[in-house]
Amino acid sequence: MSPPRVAFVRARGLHLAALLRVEPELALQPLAVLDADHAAARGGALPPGFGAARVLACTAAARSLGVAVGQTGHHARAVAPDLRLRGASGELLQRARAALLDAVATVGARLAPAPEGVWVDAGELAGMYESEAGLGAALTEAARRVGLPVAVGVAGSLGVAAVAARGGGVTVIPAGDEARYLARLGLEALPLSDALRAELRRFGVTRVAELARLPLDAAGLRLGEEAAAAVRLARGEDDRPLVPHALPARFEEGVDLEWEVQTVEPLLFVARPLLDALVARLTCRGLGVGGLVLSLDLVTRVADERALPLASPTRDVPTLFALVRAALEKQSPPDAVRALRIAALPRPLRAAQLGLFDPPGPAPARLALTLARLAALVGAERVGAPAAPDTHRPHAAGVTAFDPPRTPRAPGGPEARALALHVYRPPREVEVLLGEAGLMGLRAGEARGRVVACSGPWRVEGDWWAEPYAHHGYDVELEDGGLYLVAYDPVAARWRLDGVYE
Amino acid sequence: MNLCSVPSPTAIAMSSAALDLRLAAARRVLAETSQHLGVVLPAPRAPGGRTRATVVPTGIAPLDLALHGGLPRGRISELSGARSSGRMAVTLHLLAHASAAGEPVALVDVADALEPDDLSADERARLLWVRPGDLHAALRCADLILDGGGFALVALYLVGAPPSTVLARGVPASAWARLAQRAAGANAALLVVTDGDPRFRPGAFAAVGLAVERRRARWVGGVPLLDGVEAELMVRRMRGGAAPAEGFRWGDEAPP
Repeated sequence: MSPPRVAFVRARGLHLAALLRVEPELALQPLAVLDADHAAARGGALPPGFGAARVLACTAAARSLGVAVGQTGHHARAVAPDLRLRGASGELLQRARAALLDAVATVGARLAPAPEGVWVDAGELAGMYESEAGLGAALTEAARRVGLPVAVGVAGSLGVAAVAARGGGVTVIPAGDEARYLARLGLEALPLSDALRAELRRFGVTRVAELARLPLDAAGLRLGEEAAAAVRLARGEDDRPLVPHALPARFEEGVDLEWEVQTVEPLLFVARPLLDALVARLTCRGLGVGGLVLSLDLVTRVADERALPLASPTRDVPTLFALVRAALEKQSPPDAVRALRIAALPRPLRAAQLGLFDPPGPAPARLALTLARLAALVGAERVGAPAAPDTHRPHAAGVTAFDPPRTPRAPGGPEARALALHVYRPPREVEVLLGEAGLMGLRAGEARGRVVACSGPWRVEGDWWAEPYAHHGYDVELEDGGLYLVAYDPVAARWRLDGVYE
Repeated sequence: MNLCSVPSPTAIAMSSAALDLRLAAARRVLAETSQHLGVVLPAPRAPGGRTRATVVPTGIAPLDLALHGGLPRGRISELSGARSSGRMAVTLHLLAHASAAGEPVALVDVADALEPDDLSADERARLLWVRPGDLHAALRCADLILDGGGFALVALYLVGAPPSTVLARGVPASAWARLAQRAAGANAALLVVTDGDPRFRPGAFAAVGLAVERRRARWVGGVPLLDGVEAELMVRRMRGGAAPAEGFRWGDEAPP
């Protein structure tokens, strides 16, 4: 049995990368992420807690102005007055980690999440790539697709792989070479707590090689369990197994706005990157968007949540964007918005095995895209195959999912229709002239005149236990040749024009 | 017959079905001549399956004959008529017949006028029904459906369209030009159904213009029951060919 091999995919600058995933326009601006509660400060006075908080990460533009990791908020703002400050958001970090898991899952199946990245079982992938460096490159490329820069370390154990990934790029440590690789490193390469690092420095231990030479039992006895684990790691001994983890089932992206927003356009501006990020994650998992849930956090601390169903799953971002736009323009936010969140309902994309002798028709993926575009334009409830609901209520209509059969219809084509009804939805008001013989005349817009022929009434009544309806229909022909369906509604005690025969 | 003569512009503009007829006649003359001269000619190539279908049969035999097979694919056709002339019945018949071969069809119903019970369950399953609610959205829906491709026939039912603020002066020519281009790309027949209002008619963009005229309503039985509308279906315009002078009876007792 070959020795175990593990790759660790470490997200570089995770705090900043998590923010830039959903607000990519900030990448070129001077921006620093602080170790403080998530909030935003564009200029002027610092919010409470920002002054003493430390800079966790900053953009290249901020670095060029003199901002550095570890500075306080006051210090950073002093060297760069126009610096944008953001507090670290646990929510954003969690979403970025979920995106990293989704991306890495496109390369390997056995994954285990860690606070800074993801472990992957590299042993099972050995036959799929020419080398472990090739595997590292594939993992880097996968993470790049979801907007996360990463470093990859490949080694024989979880701990050593994580240390190797701190070097940046792709670092491969050959099997059995772990101790020699670690011996060259300084103590700062190991993930140790500040307290243990200070204790070790007090003992004069500054190199990993020196740490590896400490007696294991004595180090554990005097400095605690963390020190014993550090000594084992320094010797390249880490027998922790990789415990596979289930992939996240929730697909949600969101952004907290710097200022409250009342109009639709700024919301659409921030919605587009969220949809890009969602689709990138779903693409990694081979899924499509079956619907969206749009959540607006209002300044009144009320959440305005809207479900946006789709007629068919899709990954087309312009279509999803049109859906969000239609929803926001149809009903503007009732109050100013502080944060926008979009959750996607994951659905498998429609797959179909097309027959060699089937008649031509729309490709399933193309049809799904067309249906999604139509639904975004007119609403999902107005696109589909017509359905006659299970009711006697006159002119009830609905739609079902459009999934046309591919086979030709049985022989015996459709008979010529002598009559079809053009339904008026909603029914029109009509004035009726009644005589001894029944209906004598009608007046409803263009439909007006003397009745020359009439049949009826055709009575339909129902739903007396819930929402009663009654319909006494008459087919009438007017002197100008128009054929209409007129109905008397005894529940509402009024006449109405239900449609015209065409 | 002079086979070497230069074809006239009229002949070039003929529809493919008419060309096929001329070609068959030419082959027949050639065969007779070769037989007379004792020359053996190679057998004509059997029609292959790689050519795209050029028409959508209507299922109305005399109309198919007049249109050289049916509604032309990749082109706009127009159907117009007055109230109660049978516009909806003809439209549903064309959609139902076009979908019988297995290709789906679409109805862009701007007035939300379809009664689902007028179609059988199988016809409903093969029909994509879109209810845009206004004229501008209806044109965009037709554009999207044609852009998606795969539909044999797309019916744009503009009868009873609510007034549009965006297109108050009707459908602009640029929209028809775009739809004609989309229909050609999708190899689909686009049927525009109007009430004859020139603001909503495709006009010169339509390769085929059909009109339906009401003859009389058919009432049957002692207590009269409305049984149907008898109408006349006419080809008013046919690009690349002469429209027949007489119409065809529609909704008569015997199916057409």
